Amino acid sequence: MTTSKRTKSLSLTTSKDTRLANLFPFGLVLPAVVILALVQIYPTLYSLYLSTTRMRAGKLTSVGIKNFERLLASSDFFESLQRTVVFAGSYLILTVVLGLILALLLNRRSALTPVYLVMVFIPWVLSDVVSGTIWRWMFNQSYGLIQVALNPLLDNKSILSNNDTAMMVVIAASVWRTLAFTALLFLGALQTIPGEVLEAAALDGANRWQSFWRVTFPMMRPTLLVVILITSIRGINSLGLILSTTSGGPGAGTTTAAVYLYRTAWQFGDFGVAAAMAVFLFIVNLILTIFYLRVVRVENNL
Amino acid sequence: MNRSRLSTLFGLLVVCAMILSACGGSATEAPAAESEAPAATEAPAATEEPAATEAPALGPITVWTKFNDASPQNAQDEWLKAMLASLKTDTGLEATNVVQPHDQINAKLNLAVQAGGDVPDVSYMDSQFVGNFYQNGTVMDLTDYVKSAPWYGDINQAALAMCTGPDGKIYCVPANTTNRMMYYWTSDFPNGFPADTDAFLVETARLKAEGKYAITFKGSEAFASDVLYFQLVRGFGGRYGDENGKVAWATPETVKAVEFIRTLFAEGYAPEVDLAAGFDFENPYKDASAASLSAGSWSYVFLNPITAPDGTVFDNGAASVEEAMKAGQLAVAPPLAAPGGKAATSVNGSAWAIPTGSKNVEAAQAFINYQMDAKRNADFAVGYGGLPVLNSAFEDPRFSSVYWQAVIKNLNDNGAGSDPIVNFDQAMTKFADTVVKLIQDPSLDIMTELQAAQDEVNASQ
Repeated sequence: MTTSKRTKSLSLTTSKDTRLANLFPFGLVLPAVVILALVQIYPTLYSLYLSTTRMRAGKLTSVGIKNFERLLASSDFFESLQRTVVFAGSYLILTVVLGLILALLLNRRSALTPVYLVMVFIPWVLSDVVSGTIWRWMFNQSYGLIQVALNPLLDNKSILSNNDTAMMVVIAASVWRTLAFTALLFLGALQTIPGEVLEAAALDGANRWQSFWRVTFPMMRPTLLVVILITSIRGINSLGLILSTTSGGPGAGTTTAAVYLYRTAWQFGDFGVAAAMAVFLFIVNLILTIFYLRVVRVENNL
Repeated sequence: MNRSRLSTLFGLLVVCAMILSACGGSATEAPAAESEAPAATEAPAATEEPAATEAPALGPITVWTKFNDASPQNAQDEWLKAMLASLKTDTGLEATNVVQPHDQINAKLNLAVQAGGDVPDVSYMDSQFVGNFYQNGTVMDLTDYVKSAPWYGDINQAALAMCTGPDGKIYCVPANTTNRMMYYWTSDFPNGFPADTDAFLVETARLKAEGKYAITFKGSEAFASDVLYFQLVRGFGGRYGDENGKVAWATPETVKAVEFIRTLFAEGYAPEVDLAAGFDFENPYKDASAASLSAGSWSYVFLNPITAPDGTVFDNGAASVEEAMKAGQLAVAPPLAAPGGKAATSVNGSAWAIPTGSKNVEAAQAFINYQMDAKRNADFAVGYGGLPVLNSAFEDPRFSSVYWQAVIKNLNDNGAGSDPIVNFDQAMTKFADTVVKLIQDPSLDIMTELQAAQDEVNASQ
């Protein structure tokens, strides 16, 4: 065989090996992606189909975009979106800020740090239903620990019977439940910061706040963005805990979009409109994700 | 496609899958409704021998109810446990009960049929859902079966009307009827319970001066619309819906009813806990901090223990109310009427339905036929807290008690059927939410809000 043919044959083999090597990781991931496609993508596409239908006399009939039109004409839906913004926004800010503070405190090692970690984690291991029930009982008018303690100050006003205070309770319950998760992520990020960097900052005369703001916080930014993304999505989709605490009440006082979707589907049986809401929320979550991914990419490129 | 683009595509796919699992993961089922005060009660007496029903070789069936026969908490659960045992003994038919939460059973039945999944062979349903089930094709047309049944001549026709759909066909078999009334502490109303809202407001001021609430009632969620709100709206001459199944509550009469409700909260005559979710509204009556309770004929099952204003505690399960009545401490009265008007009580019922897709229709019919016997119908009625639907069942001596005589009189004098709204649950939820909104913001115009709510519900039909 001439040298050029051998070279050509060698380069063809190398090119094929390279392609196979490049595809190999995707092959490993493929089974998981296929399963996810079956249990997530197919139901999502079915929801999209369902959002264009309506049930009448036991028959599913196509109605085009009418369900979306009904949704956009519904004051209940827009009010639920407003409540979602209030709930998710408050939940996000409190969870991130308090999670960060908690992580900073836990990062100061002490003999009791393992005990504190366990205490912080207890809410995280409880289910939404159990957590919500605990909070509902704590504010029960007759025997709730917190309600009864506050009765003299509140002139016996029921906290769960007022829209504003009921919303505060569900936000507090949600933050309490998720704090451990965000604190843990922040704690992990804090522990990857090299000690020498902080020492160098101290040697340069930076005080504690300056050290945190100029050194620690910038290095935690990627983790912060991930936490914000996950917490935002969780806030928008939160359902179990709100239902367990207030059932979306009083009236519709804590009925967020997710709760309204649940009611429309499972209480009223209007699956077409509920599916339309699900599509809407999916788009909102997707936009948020793309936005955050772009911010992360910009951060990485800086 | 180069490696970078492929990576990006797969990365996006994985992220999408994560988002979708975040979306799907949040959609958890609602928690079971908070259980009512548990009470150990006697089970209704096991049936004696009615004419033995035929025992064809019918397979085991699945039945959905809102009663827990496996772990009975109250008289309703005890009734079911006893009935299923005697069903097997008497007919050989085995029925397995699947408990559903009381506020979800109708929606879940709808869902099971629409999803084309496993449906029960027979299911409990609330009669208010006939219109909704008709629209969704959830239950079978039972007209021929009912009209040829041996008990058809004995059934109360008003009760049967509860199970008749907008097309005139029968979609369920009624099992009991319930109505709504006022429970009150006699020492708080020494001159008897006021007949109308004006007379009631005179008493409320006195009671408030004594440091008591005049009334407590379910003020939020769909259930609220079924109890006090319905009584007042009808009492003032309004309606929830029209003959075509459309919502029609935006009328001056309904406005007057809502104004009265607003006054109760604005003046502190009703506790704020009435607006909270669940059944906490009962507690002020049970501990006598409220003088009266707007509830239903079934409420005695759950009103225990109860403490009278003089401190006497009645703690005997479902018999607590009867004992308090015999002691002269507690009484019942018709719902409040409008001034110069007539009281009105909604009359609804429990019923049995055969879902579309039921695999054992014959066995399901045998199950229903077994219930439709005078003694057994009376057992269910007493266990549930309603009145029987078979005329012969009214002769049961249990209905001669003071309590049941008051319930029967209330039904006969003030009974008013539910309005056949097609999207009933949505309408009742929307009405209750609107009233709560009007209570919480006194600056809102009642008619404007009622009209907006009406238009929204009708648009979604």
